[in-house]
Amino acid sequence: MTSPAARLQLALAPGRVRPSRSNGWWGMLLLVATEAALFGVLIASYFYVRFKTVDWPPDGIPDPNVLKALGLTALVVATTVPIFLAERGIRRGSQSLLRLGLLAATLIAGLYTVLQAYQLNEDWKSFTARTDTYGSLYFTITGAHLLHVGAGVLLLGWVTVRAWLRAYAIDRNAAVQVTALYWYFVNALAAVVFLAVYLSPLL
Amino acid sequence: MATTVERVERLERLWEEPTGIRTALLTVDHKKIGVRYLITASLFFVAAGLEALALRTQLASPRNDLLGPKTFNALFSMHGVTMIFLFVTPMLSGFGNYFVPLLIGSRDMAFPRLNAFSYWVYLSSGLFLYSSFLFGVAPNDGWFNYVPLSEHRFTPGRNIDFYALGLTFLAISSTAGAINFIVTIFRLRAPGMSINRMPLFCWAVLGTSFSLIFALPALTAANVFLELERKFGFHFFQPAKGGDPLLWQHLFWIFGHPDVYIIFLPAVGIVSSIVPVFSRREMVAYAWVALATIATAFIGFGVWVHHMFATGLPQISMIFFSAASLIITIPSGVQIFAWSATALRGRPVLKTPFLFVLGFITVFVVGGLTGVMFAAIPFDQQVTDSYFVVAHFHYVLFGGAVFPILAAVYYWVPKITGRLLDERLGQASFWLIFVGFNLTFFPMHISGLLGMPRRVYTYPDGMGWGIYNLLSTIGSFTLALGILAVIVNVVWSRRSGEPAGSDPWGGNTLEWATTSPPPHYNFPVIPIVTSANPNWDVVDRLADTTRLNRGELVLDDGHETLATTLLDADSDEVLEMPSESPWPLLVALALSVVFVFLLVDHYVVAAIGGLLTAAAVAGWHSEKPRIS
Repeated sequence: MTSPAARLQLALAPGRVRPSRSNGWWGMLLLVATEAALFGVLIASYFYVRFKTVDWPPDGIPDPNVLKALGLTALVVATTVPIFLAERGIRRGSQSLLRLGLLAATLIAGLYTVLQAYQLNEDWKSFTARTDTYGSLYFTITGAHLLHVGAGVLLLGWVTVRAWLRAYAIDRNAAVQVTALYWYFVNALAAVVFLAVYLSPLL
Repeated sequence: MATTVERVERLERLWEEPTGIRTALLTVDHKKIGVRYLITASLFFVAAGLEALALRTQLASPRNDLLGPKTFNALFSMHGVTMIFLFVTPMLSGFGNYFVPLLIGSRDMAFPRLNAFSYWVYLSSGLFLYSSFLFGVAPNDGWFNYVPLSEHRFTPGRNIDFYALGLTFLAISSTAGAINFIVTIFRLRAPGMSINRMPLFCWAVLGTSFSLIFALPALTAANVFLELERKFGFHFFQPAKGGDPLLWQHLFWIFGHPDVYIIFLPAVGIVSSIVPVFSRREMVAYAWVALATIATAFIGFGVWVHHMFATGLPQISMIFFSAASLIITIPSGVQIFAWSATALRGRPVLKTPFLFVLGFITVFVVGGLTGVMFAAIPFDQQVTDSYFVVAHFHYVLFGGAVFPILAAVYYWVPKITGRLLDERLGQASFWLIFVGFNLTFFPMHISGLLGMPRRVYTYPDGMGWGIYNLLSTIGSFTLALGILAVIVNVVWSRRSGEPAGSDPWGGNTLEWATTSPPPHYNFPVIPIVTSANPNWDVVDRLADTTRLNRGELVLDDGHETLATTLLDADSDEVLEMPSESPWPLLVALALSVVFVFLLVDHYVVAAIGGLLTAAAVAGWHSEKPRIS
């Protein structure tokens, strides 16, 4: 058995790509866990109220537009691919894959943010968060998700600019992995919100 | 080749922070931040204690009119909010901040700047909540703030907004702190400290932190719902609009019951640290105690409905929660037996820290017995909202958390100040507190069974409650005298106590392997651990000195500490740690702008505060490590 000091020398040998995750990645994983719990509570509240209500959505409120929501959700979930490529690219040292992947993801995510905000604004014209509890839950949950997407777009934009400034390298890419982890979470959330808020009222 | 003296001098230069106002605002040293947490939380404890004395004075005799009903409501609400949110949890965070890195042989927390940020947010949200007194609108709907009373139509003042926004603000601090503890314990343990050798206090902090991560969002969601309702006319809790007032209770207790264990677990971790040291033998059933800690944190999420047995829920769901509430006594029982067995198999030394531990066990067993009674639904329905409940939760919370905190004060403050507390005054303070506590809270069992309801500001003559209330009031002043003795002892010892030396108690864990107070860099050489009682492994500690002389694992090339692997704690990498930074304070200030202006309905300014927060976070992440 090698001594801890010898193992340390081994662990720090030049050119070694770190096998374990960075502190930042662990921190983000836990942030994502607590955010997931937050959305778990929001969606649990949604179904708690729903199962006490006869008509869902209540009288006078149209069913959510599933096709439009499906299209928008697919758009944002699709950004998983360029982010995945960017993250894998920089782990193998490819700056171009990193930059293009991040740029594509940022642009699509930005487009989604604008379209989804527009869509919520349209919905507000037929019913609002003040109409009843259904409206309150609908706009609170979709609004909370949109806020998380917005934070993600800021984060992606920041990392993209830094990637263009050559801030990351094969052995120095923790920020990319941390951002990617957050973004995967936001995308998974988009799918969950779609199932709960848009699809489930029709079932 | 550098000599040992040169190495230590270099560490000193690398890690020291200049004194003065600059460092006061910018420090990221976990020890300074830990002490701040301890002092701030103690001040809130004094505030909550004074509130309690005012309440007890009002209740000393029937038809007393010292405090009006409005003042009484605000005081009992703020007493609860302060004890739960601003004293116990941050006090235990303070001990965690100071001692977790020392216990695991690290030089700082995993995220030192985030640590500073947690403290600033805690301080800001505490001041935010307490500033409500200045405007005469302190929260006044109890610590659990039930709707519909807390809705706008029944409490139109800003009282409830202070509560909901203040606790949401504080949740940011607690969440950041919990993440920091988990990553620190996962990643920064000394080489060789595999998880089966981790100090039990770290197991407890780990359990608590995970509970916080999953429980706090429920409170935050409830408070956000309430504020959306109060400020923007949303509907979540009003049946006429399709909502349900019970939704608040569910959300609150989904947080609130795990929170009981969030408070209790670190306290139990303190007890598990002290018992083996003062019993002069290693902990009996270490693995069982560690598992019991995690089991408690886990089962704690499945018992919230026992706070709602009187709300008319379906029988079948109540039976499930009744069973879960009985099951959770098992891990507590395991720990009680493990502590007792450790003490009985060892050669106990009855110094003050151990006295408080024995006091804890006694009081907690009584509180646990009434807890088992509540799990029986018919009994619970009979005593709901009576003083019996007040008696129970003070036995488990004051007994379960404050006694261990006081034990920790006597046990760990000598490490922080380098001076021992006075033993005779310490023993006197214990007996005052133990007698005062029982005299305050035991009679409440009886007045509760006689029918006295909670949260009444006065009561009529001739109910037979007067004598028990008078006894409680006398007890509360005795208790306060005991607390005063502890404060005097700490302040006195700071200058005049006997020097503690590195290891005044013969401790088994690594904080006793370094000087009191520890140097800025905690350990001149990263210790290597081979058992669960590393400070009793004399050979290993001598080997540390040898390695210091040889320059192995001294890490004096920069502001560095060692990261190790998650389960086995093998060396993984050397981490460059951040130094003092202005950003944590700036982000906390920007967040304060957000919450203050949300409170006063200036949403544009609040949004600007949000942008400032984002900008400050960006500044934080652009900071380059200081070149050493």
